[in-house]
Amino acid sequence: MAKKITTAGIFTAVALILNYMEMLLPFNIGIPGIKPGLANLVVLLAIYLLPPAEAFAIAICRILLAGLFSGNGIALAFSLAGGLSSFFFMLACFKSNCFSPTGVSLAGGAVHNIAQFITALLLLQTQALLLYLPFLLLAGIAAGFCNGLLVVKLLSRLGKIHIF
Amino acid sequence: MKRNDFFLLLLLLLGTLAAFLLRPEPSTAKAEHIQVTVNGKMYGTWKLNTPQTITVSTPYGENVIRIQNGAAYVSKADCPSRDCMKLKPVTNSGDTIVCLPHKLVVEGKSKNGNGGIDTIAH
Repeated sequence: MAKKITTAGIFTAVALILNYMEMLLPFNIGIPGIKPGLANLVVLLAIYLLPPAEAFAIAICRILLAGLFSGNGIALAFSLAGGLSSFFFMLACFKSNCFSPTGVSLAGGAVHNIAQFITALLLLQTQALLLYLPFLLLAGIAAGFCNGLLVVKLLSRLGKIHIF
Repeated sequence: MKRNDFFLLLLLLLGTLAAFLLRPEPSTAKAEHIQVTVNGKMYGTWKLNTPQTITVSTPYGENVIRIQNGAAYVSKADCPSRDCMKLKPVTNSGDTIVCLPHKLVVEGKSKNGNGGIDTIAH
């Protein structure tokens, strides 16, 4: 049990650190809210390396803690919507065994942004948001794709370490 | 497994194309007034022909909207990322500035309320 907590703790910590680090990257595309989403990479790793319950714990913890640290309540709501939807979708894709990690990450990224878009649509109720949807989707696909490639590389290395 | 990934990517790209087609038509008609909503509910409307400063103070936060030269923009905001201040000013009907953390939407509207384009014939 202690090993499970420690492993989950390490994953969560890495996710949180990546959350901060990606803010350092010069990523200003002019569309608000677009990020590389590296924390999702950690969740995806957890889905592949750990039992689903632990992966879920990691996902929930990193969303809540990151939200707490950011001090922004509304951002937390969006992060929850996006993060949870993407987690369950990625888990389903993983279980279905139809896709490689790249595909799962692709789906995760897209679902994350779609969920956040729907949340914004429900809260703001303005048609104007539709202007951003194609860019949100593209960004989610691109980020998901890059994350997926990274995860494939990481899995080939981490799979050899028998800590998990 | 790799082949399914391509299908997924294709599906998502098609979805993105559909999203492009769903975009509301950008209008070329100048907006006459702005409509400000918070959390989907009407907050107020202001004409664009008079220079003025509007402070929108809600439980979600504070934004200051400045109307000048027939355009409206956010001159001050206390949201963490201040994205709303970086967006282009509202000049035409249908233009919007959104502050997501504050659930604020500033939308340009023309007199008849449905933008300048009534119909498009191809």
